[in-house]
Amino acid sequence: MRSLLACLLLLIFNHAALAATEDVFRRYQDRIVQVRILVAASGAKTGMGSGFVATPDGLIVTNYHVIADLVQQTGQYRGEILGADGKLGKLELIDFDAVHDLALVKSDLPQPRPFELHTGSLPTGMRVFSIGTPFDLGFTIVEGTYNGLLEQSLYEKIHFTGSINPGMSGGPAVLNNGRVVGVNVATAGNQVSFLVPAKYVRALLSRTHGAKPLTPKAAQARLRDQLIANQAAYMTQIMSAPFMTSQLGQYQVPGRLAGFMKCWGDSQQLPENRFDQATQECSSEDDLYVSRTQTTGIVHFQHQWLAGKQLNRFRFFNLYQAQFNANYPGLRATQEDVTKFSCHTDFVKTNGVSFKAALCLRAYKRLPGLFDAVLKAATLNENQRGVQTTLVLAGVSAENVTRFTKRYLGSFRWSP
Amino acid sequence: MEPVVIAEVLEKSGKVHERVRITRFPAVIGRGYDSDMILSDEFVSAHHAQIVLDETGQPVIKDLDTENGTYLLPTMQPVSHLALGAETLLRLGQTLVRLRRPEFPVAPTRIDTLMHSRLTQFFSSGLMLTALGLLLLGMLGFHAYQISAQQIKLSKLLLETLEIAILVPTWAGLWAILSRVFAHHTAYVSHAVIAALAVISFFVADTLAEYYAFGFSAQLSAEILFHALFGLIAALVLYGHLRFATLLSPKRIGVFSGMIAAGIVALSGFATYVQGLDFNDTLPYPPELKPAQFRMVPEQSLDAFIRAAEQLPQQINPRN
Repeated sequence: MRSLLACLLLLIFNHAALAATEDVFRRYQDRIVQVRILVAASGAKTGMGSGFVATPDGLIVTNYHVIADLVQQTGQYRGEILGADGKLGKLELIDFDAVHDLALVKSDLPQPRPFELHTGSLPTGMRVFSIGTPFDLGFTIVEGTYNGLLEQSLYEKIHFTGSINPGMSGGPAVLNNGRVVGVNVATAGNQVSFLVPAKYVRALLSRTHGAKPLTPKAAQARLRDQLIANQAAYMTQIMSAPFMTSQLGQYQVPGRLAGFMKCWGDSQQLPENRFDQATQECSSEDDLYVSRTQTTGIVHFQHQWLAGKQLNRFRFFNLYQAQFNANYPGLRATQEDVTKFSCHTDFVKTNGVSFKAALCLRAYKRLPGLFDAVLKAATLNENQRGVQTTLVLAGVSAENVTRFTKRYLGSFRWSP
Repeated sequence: MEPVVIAEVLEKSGKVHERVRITRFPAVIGRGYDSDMILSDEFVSAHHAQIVLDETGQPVIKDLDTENGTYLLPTMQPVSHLALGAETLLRLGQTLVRLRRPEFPVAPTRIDTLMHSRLTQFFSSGLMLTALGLLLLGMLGFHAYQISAQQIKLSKLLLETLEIAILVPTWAGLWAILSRVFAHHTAYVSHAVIAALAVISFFVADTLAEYYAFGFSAQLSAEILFHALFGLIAALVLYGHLRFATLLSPKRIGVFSGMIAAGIVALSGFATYVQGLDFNDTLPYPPELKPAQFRMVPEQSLDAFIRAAEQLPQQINPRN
């Protein structure tokens, strides 16, 4: 009898849950759109995402990365909006927040009632529904769970447990009452997904009153200004306090520089190797989407300690040199985005640590004032032990590159 | 004394193809098999020219009313009847015929410097080849040991050493074949000594350039140094091989070797330049690391390094 009652309750609960999901979809699907990016010359679809109506005058929210081609590849692409009723409308870019991956667009389609944005906090475990158009398969809804804001992240993101798939980017994640808590932005697979919190949508909407569509030139300039302001802010945040350090062999090296950086380490002592090796690595892990060929905004460094106690000095330096010649973690960009690297190399001594150091810079072609920088440095204090460090800064001003490099190298210490 | 005429058929290079001593007159030169000097040239008549003795007993050449005529070189003056001097150069059909008298002076004897020089003895010495061979094997083995940071396995060391060492006798063998063809001797030991010296020299040059690049923190000048040394070694090696493989004069070989080596270096430099024009995301810094004792320039302070690095944005070409 009891088991029968339990089954009955379960059935009723499931039915209620499904009914809630169906109800949410039925009530709000007409406010969802598909955002399409087409090759201007041929009209072929080259990218797509989702969006939702956010204002009574028909402003549509989507992700910046969905419409980035309209900013970076001007003239080659155009956008269009597919409404829930199947009607197509021309897309115009009104504004964007590249740092938080949001964009506002408008179309000439009839304007349905807008979504409302949720205000205030939410308890972890709250049911949230993500709506969008995954893989161009039509409008779909995914039920998931709100798991709070990500820790150790430079940019605030909501951790959503649910399957956000490609194509759903830009769609809303809503509560049962239809209020938007976030915008679908990314997924790490295995039901680990991320949302841009609604407060950033509110901030973007608040500065875009009656704005006219952006011209390509104005859009480029806006992107540049946002990236420059953003790097200034997080660089200031990192350099506002003395660098934390950690110990690696006989060396004191820069450690976790900010709360948003994740760090990990490894060591290797294989029996066939005549040397010991240990690495420490830290990364901001939050890169910003600039275009389909370029990301930026990363702060990453790696220290590698090598000790060749069973190697004579020449054998050790052959190994040391091979490691120094190794590649750096990838900065994604093409010839259209960036110049080639130029380097300055010299022997440097600071705080008792002798280095051979090379600082390399390349400029952003379409975003003047921004650079990618790679610093490679190897200590030369000892003949059978040493530390090599690789620092990567993506999308930073030249002034911040040199300021940061000075602080970074100045944090090294050596005790024999 | 009876007059004698030496008749020579010359190749276009001036080398003597055939030489006939004519002692009986009249003597006929022509394509016919009954001629005293037979020429295999379809533009030469069966009986083309005749050498006769005049009233004074001196030899005279006459054209025998041929279709293509006989001509005096280098003026190309037609010849019907011409007294022979110490040397007369004629064209019959398309054949160059040189007629000399016995009193024509010969050039001084050329000294075979290659056979008699001490350097040749050095290069031809089996003992020297053995010593260089052992030095090369030792150097390659030591190099393989130095670049390994793992436990050394003798078999692996031996294999890596022999892979390169086997090139030396193979290279020497190829040059020995050329020597046999052009200089009628193989001189295998000499070619092997030159090849061994070449490998040792290239290795030393490469090591020198690496230490230079580190010591002076200079990538471009180290590359130039390496190319210059490479060119010099290549020129010397080519010179050495050609001295044993040909009968050409040392001056000619020197010029030829220098031009070839310069060409190789120029091509290599041009290839590097063209490669540098392509976009890439590599970092163009000198990656050499050596013990600090080999640093030849002073260390900079961190401030000085940063000040110099601040010039980098101005050095970047936005079109690259």
